[in-house]
Amino acid sequence: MSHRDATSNVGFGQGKSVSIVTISGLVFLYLPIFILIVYSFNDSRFSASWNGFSFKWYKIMWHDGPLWTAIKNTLIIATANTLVSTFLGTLAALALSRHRYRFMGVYHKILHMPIVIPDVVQAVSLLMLFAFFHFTLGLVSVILAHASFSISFVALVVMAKLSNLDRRLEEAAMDLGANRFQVLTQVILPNIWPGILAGGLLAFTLSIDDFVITFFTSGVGSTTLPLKIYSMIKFGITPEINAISTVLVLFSTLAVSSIHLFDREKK
Amino acid sequence: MNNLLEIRGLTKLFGDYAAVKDLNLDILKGEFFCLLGPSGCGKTTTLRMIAGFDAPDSGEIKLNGNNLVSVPPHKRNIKTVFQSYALFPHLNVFDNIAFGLRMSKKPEVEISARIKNMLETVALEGFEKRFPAQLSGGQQQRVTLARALVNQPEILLLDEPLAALDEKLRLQMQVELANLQREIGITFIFITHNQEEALTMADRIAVMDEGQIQQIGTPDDIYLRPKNRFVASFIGQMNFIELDHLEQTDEGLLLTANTGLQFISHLSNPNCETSDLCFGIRPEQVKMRRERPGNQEVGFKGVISNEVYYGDSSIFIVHLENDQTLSIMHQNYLPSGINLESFQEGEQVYACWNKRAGSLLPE
Repeated sequence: MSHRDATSNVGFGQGKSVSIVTISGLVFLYLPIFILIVYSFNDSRFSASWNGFSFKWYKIMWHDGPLWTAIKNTLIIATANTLVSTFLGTLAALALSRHRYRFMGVYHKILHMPIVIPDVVQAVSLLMLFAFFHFTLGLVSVILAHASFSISFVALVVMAKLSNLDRRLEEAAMDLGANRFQVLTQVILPNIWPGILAGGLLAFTLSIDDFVITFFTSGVGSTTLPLKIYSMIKFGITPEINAISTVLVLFSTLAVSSIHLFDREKK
Repeated sequence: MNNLLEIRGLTKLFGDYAAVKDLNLDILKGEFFCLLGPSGCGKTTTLRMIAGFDAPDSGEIKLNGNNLVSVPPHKRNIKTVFQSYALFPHLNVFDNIAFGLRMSKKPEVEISARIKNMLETVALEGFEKRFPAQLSGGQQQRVTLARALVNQPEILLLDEPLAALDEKLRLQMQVELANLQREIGITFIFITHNQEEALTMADRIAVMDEGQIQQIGTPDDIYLRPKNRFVASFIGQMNFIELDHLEQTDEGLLLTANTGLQFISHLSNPNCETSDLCFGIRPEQVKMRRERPGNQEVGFKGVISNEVYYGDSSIFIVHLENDQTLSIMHQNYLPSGINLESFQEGEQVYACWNKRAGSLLPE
């Protein structure tokens, strides 16, 4: 055991073996992404050999019409899903954590279902549901399908925030003359909005990311980015896919760090 | 007549358990009323029903003669000071205090004026822009008080508001609260398990246990004339002598303890089952002497086993014959600084009390 810093010589955060494990873990996680980014600047048609630095594939990506349609679809679906599931999920969280019902436990379990049942099962059952009602598959069906599982995630995140909110605050507000609606808008929402925001972001990313459920429930003209990339791969992997992925990595990194920055400023 | 609040037959059940049982209570306008009892005695449940957070299973709560039971909390002119303060963390001091006034749609000019006034009353001028997290416990306490009082309620309910404060601050707040109440004249219903808080602040005290009121009276009444064993043991210190039987004689009541001690008391006969009866006498009512007791006194020989020293006074534990033990308070010196007679552990003394002292307490 190392004795360089005797004052913090606790836990597992020290020693050579620990660093080796940590570094190999990080390499395993991030090396593929690093290679992917490097090869997006490769001048070659094939990923196997390095032919020199170039922005060629970014230019090709920029002029790829069907790709942009897919991105547009993805953003429309993600935005609509975020609005719908954040609204409904927050309502569900408020109802489940602030009122007592018969069969409370059942409601909670139902809420967890979309998180635990396999995507394929949910995808097939949604497809059968749409077919049963002769619902045309398209943007709307994908949005409904995404909302059906996003609501659960939003509700759980908001419920976690609500459980940290002192019930006495609501009683205090009522005591001071606020009716139920005013308690909601003036006391509960101002205190839980970071949770609602987090739930909304989660719904947005889940939507952008989703493949299986989208694959089953989308129709003509509602291809999303993951579906588009998958179909591109079927015709061979070009560095254009690397370029698209690099842009996505850049975007998500920016999004996550801006949230962190925002959170820190608030404190 | 000038009953502000009348509670009749109030009952609250939690499952099979009655937290409050057929409670009757009258609270006068402008008084500082204290509900005192151990935790779980139903005092907080009673308060929550007065505030409207819990609905009673039966009974009436009347404010100025109007039944409140079906009125939701936000429409009752009763405000609460919570034990946990319950200040809104997202609002600063000014907005916290303004909350109630804004709910009742008072003009902003009036709100500012009233808050300025209120902050002066609770000595928090200049704290308007601070957030609750930036305040000390005592300051949060004052903001909570201001937030409730600025609405000029008919009744202010205080749910153990001093419990979270340290000893010194609590004593200071006790004095401040009592003064504040006298100054503004709003009826206070104060809930506590701390007998000292009740005795120092209240005009009247209701001692509660097991969902029922055991005794209502002034602090004096409660301390000097407890009605039953619970009240006597909950308030202050008390020596209990379990009685076997009592008998009216020419000299007075002849009490026989189950330890075999026999003595005369000039208390009036309570006329109830002797088996449930005990004789209670406070440590300060018993005197220690080296000489035999006087005519008007009862006295028993005993041996001092311990002295608990408090500075100004000591409590001596004295073993009498027949296994009876008494706590006796002894003043150590006079205000002029003269030391009084001192006693040693192991010494033989007489424990004496006046025949009129003490109380006969039913179960």
